[in-house]
Amino acid sequence: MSDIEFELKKRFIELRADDEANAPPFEGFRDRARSDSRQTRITPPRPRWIVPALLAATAAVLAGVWVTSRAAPPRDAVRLKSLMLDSSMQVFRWTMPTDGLLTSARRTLQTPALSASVLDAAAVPIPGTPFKGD
Amino acid sequence: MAQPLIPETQRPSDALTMDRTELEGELKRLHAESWGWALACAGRDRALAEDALQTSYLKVLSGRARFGDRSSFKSWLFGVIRLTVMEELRRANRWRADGSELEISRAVDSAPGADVMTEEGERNAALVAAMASLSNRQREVLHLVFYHAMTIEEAASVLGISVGSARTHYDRGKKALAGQINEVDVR
Repeated sequence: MSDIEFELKKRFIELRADDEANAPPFEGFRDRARSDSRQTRITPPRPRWIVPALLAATAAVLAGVWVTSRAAPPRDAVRLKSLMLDSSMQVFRWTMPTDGLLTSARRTLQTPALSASVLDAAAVPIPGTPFKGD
Repeated sequence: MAQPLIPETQRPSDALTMDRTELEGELKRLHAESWGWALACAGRDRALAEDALQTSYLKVLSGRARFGDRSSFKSWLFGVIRLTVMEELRRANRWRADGSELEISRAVDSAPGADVMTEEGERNAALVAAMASLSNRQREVLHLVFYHAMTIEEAASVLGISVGSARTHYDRGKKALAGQINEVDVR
């Protein structure tokens, strides 16, 4: 031990003796700790597993609801779905009002059969349009 | 005179199995040292040291702080006390990294019997004042080694730092403290 260390040790021993002479008694600390720990026991701390358990339960409930909704869709949903399907099919069924004119024009432009007259096409009524004389 | 330290080998080896009575016995045995350490951590502020020590004992006895056998009971208890003082300081919004907020003179004057300043009292006051000029880490390491007769390894364990770092703080702090004390003595 060097001189510095010896001197410091001596000084610290003096300080420690002074501190110990003026230290508050242990019994006071112990009694307060006893009464405080009793009060703590009256309201026990919440167990650590409570929060994870609640989260897991919430996740399980959400998963259950999701699975149920996937397995059996409600009647309203089915009806709505079929309605939407019908209305979307209308798009494909729709024809232009002037489609008949195109058909008639195509027939007119067709090469007439040898045994037919060129005027025969003119005599074919256009679907959806009133024929002359109706 | 300081009480002789009970060697760590004479302690119960496994405090995990300690019941409340045994814990109280250990706390009582280490009370004087714990008080000195609490005072040092609190910058010699008696009121703060008392509050922190009370809270530390409550933590230990209520089981909020549990001893694992990674270190000695004393090192563990000192770590609890140190952290509790830091919590109390933060709560009181008095904590700063350099520790300059700790009013050493006020704390020394508040000690019972401080009005009668003996030669020994003056020497203690000079030591406390010289310690205040050190960094927190240096002060803590020197206090643990010289006041509590801990090894540098034990001091490192209390402070949660590496042994190399503790050794560096010890060497620098020792030189700085010796210089400060010599300066005061010359005056």
